[in-house]
Amino acid sequence: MIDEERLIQICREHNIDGNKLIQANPNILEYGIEENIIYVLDFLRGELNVDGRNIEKCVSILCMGTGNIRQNYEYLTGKGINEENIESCLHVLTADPEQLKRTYEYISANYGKEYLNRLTTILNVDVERIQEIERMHQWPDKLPIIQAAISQRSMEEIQEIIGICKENNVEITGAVFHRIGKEIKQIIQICKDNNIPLTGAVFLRTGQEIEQIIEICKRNDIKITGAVFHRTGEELEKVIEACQRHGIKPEGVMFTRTGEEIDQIVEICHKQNVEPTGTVFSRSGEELEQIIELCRRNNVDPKGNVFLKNIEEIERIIETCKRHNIEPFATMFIQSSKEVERIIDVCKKNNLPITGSVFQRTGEELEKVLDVCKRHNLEPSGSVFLRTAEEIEDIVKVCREHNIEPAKSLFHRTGKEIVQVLELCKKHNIEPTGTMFIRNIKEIEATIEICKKNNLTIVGSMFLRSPANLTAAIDYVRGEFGSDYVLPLIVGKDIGTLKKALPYLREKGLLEVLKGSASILKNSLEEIQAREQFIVQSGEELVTPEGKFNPIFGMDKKRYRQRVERMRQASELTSVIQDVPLAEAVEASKVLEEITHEHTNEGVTRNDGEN
Amino acid sequence: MNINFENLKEIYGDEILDVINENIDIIEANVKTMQELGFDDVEDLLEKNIDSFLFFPNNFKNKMEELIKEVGPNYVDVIENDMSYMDKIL
Repeated sequence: MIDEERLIQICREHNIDGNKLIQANPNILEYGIEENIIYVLDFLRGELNVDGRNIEKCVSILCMGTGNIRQNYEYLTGKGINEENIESCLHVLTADPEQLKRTYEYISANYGKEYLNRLTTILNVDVERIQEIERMHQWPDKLPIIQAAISQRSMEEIQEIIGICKENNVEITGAVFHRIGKEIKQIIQICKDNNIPLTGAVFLRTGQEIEQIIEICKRNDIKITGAVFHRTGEELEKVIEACQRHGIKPEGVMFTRTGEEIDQIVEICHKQNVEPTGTVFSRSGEELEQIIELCRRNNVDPKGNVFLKNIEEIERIIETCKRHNIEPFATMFIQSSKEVERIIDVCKKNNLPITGSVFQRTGEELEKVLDVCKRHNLEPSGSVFLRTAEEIEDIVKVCREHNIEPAKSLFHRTGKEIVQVLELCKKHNIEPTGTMFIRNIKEIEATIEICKKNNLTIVGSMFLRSPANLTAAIDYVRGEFGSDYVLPLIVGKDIGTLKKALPYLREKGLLEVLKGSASILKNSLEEIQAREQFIVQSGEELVTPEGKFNPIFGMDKKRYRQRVERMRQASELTSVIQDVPLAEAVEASKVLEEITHEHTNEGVTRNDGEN
Repeated sequence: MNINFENLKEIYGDEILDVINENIDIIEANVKTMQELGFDDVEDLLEKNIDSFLFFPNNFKNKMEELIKEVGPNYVDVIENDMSYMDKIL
């Protein structure tokens, strides 16, 4: 037991809000022992500098398994588990060390260390529970097994949930284990009735709450995505009101804030001239202000990933950059400050330029990636760092099997996704280009659909544009000029250029020619007009007898300039001799010829007409 | 190389810059192929036929070889005088 005032005092000495602690878990007063609390706080705050907010969220660490904390921490960090992941999941440190070790080894061997970093809380679960869940079902993925194990559900409940999901063709993701079987059935029915996709977040709410949220969203014309289910109906109304007050669209991470917080954040954004969108809503108003000021002082753009971190972490990252004399890249802020340091070390050790893309991987992952790149003669840069070493191996294997080069764009996708794209290409007789792999499967399928619907030959260039932009171009061309002009070489261009060039060609009576000769659209309107003028001045026709545009429209710039220059010189010569009588011009021509002939024999070329 | 990105954006839209950036290795390999084939103004060929340059390098090489067979030994002149020939490889 510990006295409330004494606890608050101890917390204050360690820079923690004791009141928040008690509010989060009043049991601390009953089960907390002063010397244990001091011991733990000395270790976590004094030695490790763990963020006080993480301790405020995990009060049990101060009164349970306190003797195991240091040993478990040293074990896990020694095994390469990120400190940041441990610090956001402190309760794992209270586990029995033998059980923790068994779970670590089991997950590491059978799932991979990435799962331990991603869902560190699994370390609190004993191996037997995990194995029993594994045996329950033919799990297509590993993640839901871990999520089921982490959940509070009994074995019977988990079995029931799996059965319901299978029966209703619902993907078994971790989120379903938030609810019991009866609730899941209800939720599935409500989502079916309202045509809402069964994303993970719906299972955060009860059936009744979901119905309420749906009604609120419909009333306010808000798209029902997973994010809206992070709040109750009442909270959601307040968020929407706050957004409406400020003329911002309520979406995404905003739903993790209350209405009051949104008011505060928007006010700060206006004051600080920061756009009130996206990740700014990841932080409280107070934090946001401090972060923006810190960024401005240190020449860091206050936007995007920066707001994923608290102020202490941002300070540490900026300090690291200063020490190594490098710019703070936006991608750095997806890593912890310690990880940023590790990554920089790996780069320096391997002579790798420190660019933004390297921070997409942890230091340990980066070393493995570099090793794989070396073995397969891949340049370690850019999109390669989007993938883990195992994924890169897989991609190289897929490329070998399908006889394509492992180009940069492929690393936007996993090996499995690349195979999906190649199979789609095979099915629709499309030659794959690099562009396809920076689009996701849905976009590729959408583009194929658009082409089929519009009778367009599916060529690689159709994938240069997003499906939405392609559709816009098709709709414009069909609407203004008719379906005959919906051709790949026409609708594959930007709608802006089409809106200039096509009306111009129509005005000139040349639109029909486009059907068989659309390459002219590779020129901007200004270029088309310039070449048109040149062709006319040259005395040539704009359209050949075969019904195609004059090849001059398709001439490369250098040759075109040469022709323009020749014409200019010819025109100058014409104006010089135009007043000379014909007989004299002929005589002069003969003299010029003689001179040229003599000088050619001497190996000299002169153009001044002198003897 | 001196590419007119503003021109490319005008013809293909802003997205083209990302496409080029993410496929720069493919583009560079194909540019090299064109230079080895003797083309002079490869920059303009690239600007006007960016979609063709996005084929995987081995495939691009094969396609150019077929085009050259079709066009004849004077292929550099023919294609540089009328780049619509490059559409044949799409």
